[in-house]
Amino acid sequence: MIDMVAMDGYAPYVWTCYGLVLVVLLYLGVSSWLKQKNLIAHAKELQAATPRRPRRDRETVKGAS
Amino acid sequence: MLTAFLALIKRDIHLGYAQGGAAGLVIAFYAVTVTLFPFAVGPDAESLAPIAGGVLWIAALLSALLSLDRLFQADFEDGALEALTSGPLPLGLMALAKAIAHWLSMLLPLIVLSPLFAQLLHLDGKATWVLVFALLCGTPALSLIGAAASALTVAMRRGGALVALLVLPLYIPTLIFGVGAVEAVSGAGSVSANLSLLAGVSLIFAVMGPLAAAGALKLALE
Amino acid sequence: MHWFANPARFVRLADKILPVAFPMTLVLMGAGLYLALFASPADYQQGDSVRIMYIHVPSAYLALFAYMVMAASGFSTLVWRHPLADVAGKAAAPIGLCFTGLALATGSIWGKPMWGTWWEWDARLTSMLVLFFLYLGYIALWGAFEDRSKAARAAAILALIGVINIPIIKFSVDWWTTLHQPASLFRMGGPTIDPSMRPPLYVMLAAFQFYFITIWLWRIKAELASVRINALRLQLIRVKRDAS
Repeated sequence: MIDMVAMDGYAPYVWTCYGLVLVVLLYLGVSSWLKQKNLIAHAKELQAATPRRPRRDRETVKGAS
Repeated sequence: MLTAFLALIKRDIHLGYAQGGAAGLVIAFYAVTVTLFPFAVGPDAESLAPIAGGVLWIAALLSALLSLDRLFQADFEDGALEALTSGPLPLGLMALAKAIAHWLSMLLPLIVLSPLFAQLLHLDGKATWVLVFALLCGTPALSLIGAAASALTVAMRRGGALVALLVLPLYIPTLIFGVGAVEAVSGAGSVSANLSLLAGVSLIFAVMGPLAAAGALKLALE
Repeated sequence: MHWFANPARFVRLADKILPVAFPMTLVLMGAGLYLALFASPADYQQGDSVRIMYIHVPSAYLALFAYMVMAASGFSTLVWRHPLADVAGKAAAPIGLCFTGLALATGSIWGKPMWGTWWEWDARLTSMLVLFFLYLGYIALWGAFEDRSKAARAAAILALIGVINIPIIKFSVDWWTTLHQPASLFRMGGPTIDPSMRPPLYVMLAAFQFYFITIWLWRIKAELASVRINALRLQLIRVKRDAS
């Protein structure tokens, strides 16, 4: 086990690489997940707050999106 | 259509040299940039000659870049671009004409003057001629790639830094083969292989550059 | 009809894929890390530093893969005007940028014990560096437009220019390094990989691939939601104005 951690002298390089990859992967993962969760919740809120639209409005919104 | 094509090239070259045109400034920029290098690395031939090819190519790249942001923008702002689209030329050929005009008015003078600057950097005679040929083969790609990037950013008020970021990575192959040709005179590699690769890159972009520029102009004009 | 019908169907599909892709990522990543760090032999030349390869090569692979996704999205944006395509391209770009950065960082850290310097102008690393700039340009171009559909098409054109250029850049960089570096002793992730290194590498590649799918789908969902939020906001303003 201690051999494993020491990586026969390459420990700083190997563990820095793995640590770096882990940090970036976690950050990208968590931030992407939170972003979609929050935005979808926000979209639902807005949807609920929007009165049912008459046909005419649907046309204009489509053009705007 | 050919007359419209040639007329557009002629018009753009005229504009480049007219009052307020950029052609003179680009030559001055090239000269000043080259002049900076002896101060940076030392004035003796031993330090300058080995890097002369690279320096002259980098100066050419930056000069091309510097003159790009006005390629479509002036015409876009005063509405001339929109007027041109109702003419006989398809957008792609129009972009090609403007790229050719850019090359003739901005880059060709630099190529003509480059033997002079090569002497300032102590490049030897044979390498100087190879440099001139390399610039002739390679710099069309700079105008053609530039036309596409310039068209993508035409509607932006401050597109300059963005154009540099878009264009410079795409200039790398031209730079490599261009400097490679000059270095092949005294070192490893083959001059003719580098020159034909340079011409190849220019040819690829002769098709791709105007096509991309046409797409970009179409969406800018909507 | 496109924006409202098609994305909804896509989100339903994504919600079917995600419950598979996300656990697969975790399982494969765990297995891959175990194989890469504990259950594989050290290289006879490079020792344990070869273990960096198991994350460097998948990072480099995803860096390229994400660009291919962007280019394919760009193509369908321009040719079929597919409304999901630009969202797919925009969602892939930051992932690609991250993995290009990781490939550069791990490559350079790996290079330190191998070459003795933190940076060597090795053909692969140099190409990765150029790819990094291509990503930056794509992301910057997306941000430079106010009109979303114009940004989408401009970015699509750029992605296509980029994807045609990648082989040219790769070729020129290889050409350049063979001129300047006489036969390097050590090639990063070179063509000869010992059979014992294959299982950890393949498992890690699969783990990274599932990671990409998971994050990509999340980011597409987020982007679709934000497009929808903008549309709903406009609609709310309109309704309020009509009411007053």
